Amino acid sequence: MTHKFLASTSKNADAEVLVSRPNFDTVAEGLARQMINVIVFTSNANAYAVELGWIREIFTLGHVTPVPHASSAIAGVVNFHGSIVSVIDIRGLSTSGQKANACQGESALLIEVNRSQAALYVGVIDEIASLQVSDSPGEVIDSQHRNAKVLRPQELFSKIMQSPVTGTRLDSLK
Amino acid sequence: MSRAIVEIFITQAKSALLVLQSNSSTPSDLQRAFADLEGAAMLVGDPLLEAKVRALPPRGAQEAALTLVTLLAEVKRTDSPVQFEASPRPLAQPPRKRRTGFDTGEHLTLVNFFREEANECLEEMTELLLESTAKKPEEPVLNELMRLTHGLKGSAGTVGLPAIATLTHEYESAVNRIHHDELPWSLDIRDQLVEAADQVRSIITDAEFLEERSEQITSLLSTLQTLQPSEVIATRADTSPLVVVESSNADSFAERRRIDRRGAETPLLRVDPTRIDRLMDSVGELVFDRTRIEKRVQELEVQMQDLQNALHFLAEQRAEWPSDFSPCDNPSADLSKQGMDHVCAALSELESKVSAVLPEIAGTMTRLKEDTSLLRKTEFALQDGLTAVRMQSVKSLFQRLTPQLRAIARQADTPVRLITSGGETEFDKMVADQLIDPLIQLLRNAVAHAFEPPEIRKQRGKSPEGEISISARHEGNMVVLEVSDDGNGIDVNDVRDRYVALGKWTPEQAAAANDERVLRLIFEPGYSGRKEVDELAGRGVGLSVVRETITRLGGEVLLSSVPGQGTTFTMRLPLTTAIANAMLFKIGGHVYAIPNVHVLAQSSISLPLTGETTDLEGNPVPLIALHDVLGFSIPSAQEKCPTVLLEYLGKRLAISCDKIVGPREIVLKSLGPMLARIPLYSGGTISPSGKVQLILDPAALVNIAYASPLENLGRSSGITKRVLVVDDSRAIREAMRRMLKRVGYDIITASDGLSAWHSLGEEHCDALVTDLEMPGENGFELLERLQSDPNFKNLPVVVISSKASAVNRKRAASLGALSFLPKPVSQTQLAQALYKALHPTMK
Repeated sequence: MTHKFLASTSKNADAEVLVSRPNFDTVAEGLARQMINVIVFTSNANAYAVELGWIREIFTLGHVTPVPHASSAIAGVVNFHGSIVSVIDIRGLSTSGQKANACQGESALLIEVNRSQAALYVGVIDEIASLQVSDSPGEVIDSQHRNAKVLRPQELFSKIMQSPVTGTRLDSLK
Repeated sequence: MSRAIVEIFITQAKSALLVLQSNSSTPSDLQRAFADLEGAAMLVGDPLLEAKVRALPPRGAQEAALTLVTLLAEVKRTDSPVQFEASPRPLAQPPRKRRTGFDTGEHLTLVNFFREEANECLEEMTELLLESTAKKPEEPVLNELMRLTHGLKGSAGTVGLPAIATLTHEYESAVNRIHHDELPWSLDIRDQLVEAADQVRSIITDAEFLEERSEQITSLLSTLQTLQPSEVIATRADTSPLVVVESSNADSFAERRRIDRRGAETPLLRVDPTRIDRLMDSVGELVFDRTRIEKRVQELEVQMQDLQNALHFLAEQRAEWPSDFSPCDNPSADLSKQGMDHVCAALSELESKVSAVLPEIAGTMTRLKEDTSLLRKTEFALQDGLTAVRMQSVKSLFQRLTPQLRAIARQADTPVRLITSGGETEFDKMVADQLIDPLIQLLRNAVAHAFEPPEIRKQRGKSPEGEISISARHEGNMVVLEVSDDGNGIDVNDVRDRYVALGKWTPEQAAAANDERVLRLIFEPGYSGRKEVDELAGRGVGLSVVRETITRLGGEVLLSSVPGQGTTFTMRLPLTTAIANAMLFKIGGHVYAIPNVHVLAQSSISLPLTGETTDLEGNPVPLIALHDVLGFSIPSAQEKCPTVLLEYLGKRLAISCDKIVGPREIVLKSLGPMLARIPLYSGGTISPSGKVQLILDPAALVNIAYASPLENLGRSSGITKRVLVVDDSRAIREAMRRMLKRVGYDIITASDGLSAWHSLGEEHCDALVTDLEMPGENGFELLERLQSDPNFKNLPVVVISSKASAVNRKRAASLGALSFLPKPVSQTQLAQALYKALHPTMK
């Protein structure tokens, strides 16, 4: 993990130079084209980016305990420094009906939104970089010239919390 | 006013100063800094300070900075710069912004500050009042009371709660009148003051919604204003309806104050409980780390044993060699005698060296073990310390009960004497907070039901006023709270009659049941000992709620009653909600836990599961196939399946599992907001190896087991199952939606195969009910799509069609349909077919 991590960072340093030099002819254009600091990862052959500001820690998943009846985007729960956090796998949110499937030993980002924490399963981190915002909204262009969708953790969290999959009316039984 | 608020002002002033001195500050930065500073000044509540701050912006930046520096120095120098009442408002002051003109967020923060402070104030006031006897309190007590009410008034005004300010003003003047002997002191006055303090507390608790409490405020105001040495009080003399006796030694005021003052030297720290939780988590981590080290030491021990064995082996081998061992004896050897000697010497040297090191390693290992056991001790100390932080003495709980009991006693016009003991017993504040309602309910019950008329009490040699005693003590890891009265006791036969009258039992059943069981009935929902409903009791909800709350907290409530002598409710509660005893068991390779207080027994049952088994006495109890609920398959190789028998709120049920692990002490943890909505789990815990284990909520299991079989098919596994209904007729879609909704399913609909396919992609569904003939994509085409997609291949499908020919049936079955129902369908048919499709393992 450490090795991969280092490799991708250094690769990215080059990439940044490559991308930034020819594109920014003038200062004005440079300012217009906003740069954001992100972690890029690939899920289901699509590139995704998460802004660094949301990320508290990058860590290796321990044993993932599945939670029957949880939202399809939750692969399970892990022990994170003694507290229990849910592991989100965005594959579970896709319309293709794929299941969340995060495994022990793979990488995850600890994300915090409004003081609630969850782990976002990323598998392998492609790069950590300052990337240019793409012309299409909500995307950045990564060093492999892919358009990476920038995830919005607050929306992700609320989507999962409101996800009706677990919705029960057991309470009404009382 | 609290020093903390002054600190806030100082911080704001410092940051304003930074803004003023910075070259890069924009006008809007300045504006914001001044606004913040003004807010802080208002919070401090000194009008002079406020005026000074207001005068800052018009001056130049340089001058403003200078003024601010002087101001800061002033504030810092004076220990109590804030005399927010005494200093007269400067005349030159511009018309003031209304106090309530804070923006909402700001206001709420302030109100929260105030609320915490006010609660402390009121608690202290109550304590002071309750310590007073029929004699007028000493001067220092009254002074302290005045100081507290005065402070409260000031803070209320500052945070923009004028109504509360007026209220506390009246309170203050009432105390003042007592001080100046304008209002003669009596126990009745004291009680009224205590009650008023309690009401102020309850008003403050929802201070944001003061409008809704205006009636209460007005009535309380008039109560306080009319606190008069009236004839009523004179005639009633000191027969206050409630006498409180604390049986433990009450310290004298002077002594207590001394302790308080000592306490004041080390100011109390207010800590967000989540911080303590986080520390607790770290302690948990420490436990895992230590366990890991201990495991390594064990491994090391085994390895050392291996080494020792190897050494022995070597020694044995060498011993077998003849002393004049020579290579010539062995024709195959081609070592020279000299070479062999070398080897022998080297070996013996190795042997002696290793033998010398071995005891050293053993010694190090012993010390390592000692070290880890020290670590374990420190760890326990840490854990205990952190647990103790959450602890609160029962005394404050008792104090909150007294005014309530007073009101109840007055309402019922029953003289009551309350005896409390064991006030120093400590337990988790979280638990204590949740106990108030159940305890009030028990007191209410005692006042309403327990006591005989005074004449009978006299005959029985009891004091005229009823006696209720509450005691607390520790028993192992539990806190035991006992509420007893010296009343009439509960007549078991009365309970039998009531239960028959309520239509819950036949007279035969009532006669057959033993006394203990009958006594437990009074905890059942719907039971009421009273024939008529009044303010105090008779609604038949009281005791069932008591039991439910105690059970939820992981405790139990027992009842004993001696006719003619009284009734005792014994509540046993865990010391803390953070740790619990749990029964662990394995299903599908994962360990689950269930609170042990609800576990009656373990047993095993032959497969296949029938949905029912028997309890210890041979009575039938529902059996939940947990494999089914949690989505695991029952291993076919197993001939017997272990079961756990549970009892929750008087209801028994059994659950199946793969293997029972046994009881363990576990640390309860929250699963976090994303999983909080799943009723099946009450939380999680972390195993010694660091894995998360889920804790099942017995309440959810009871709901599953006792849901009426047809009504709640859709919820049969504790979770509402979602069904996609596909039909081109809107009327039929609606009819089926209603049918399935009635039996507890969640429904989404689609009008043809293609839109159904899209819906399945967007939302999770547990089953599909589809028509065959539809415009656009028909049912068969939909089934084909499902069959070709691995994600939907196993989706349970029920087909409903008016074309129920054998050909169609066969084709549907070949495409994975589990049931085929001819139209029209009844609710029962549909529900049963769906239930079977969703639960292939249940017969």
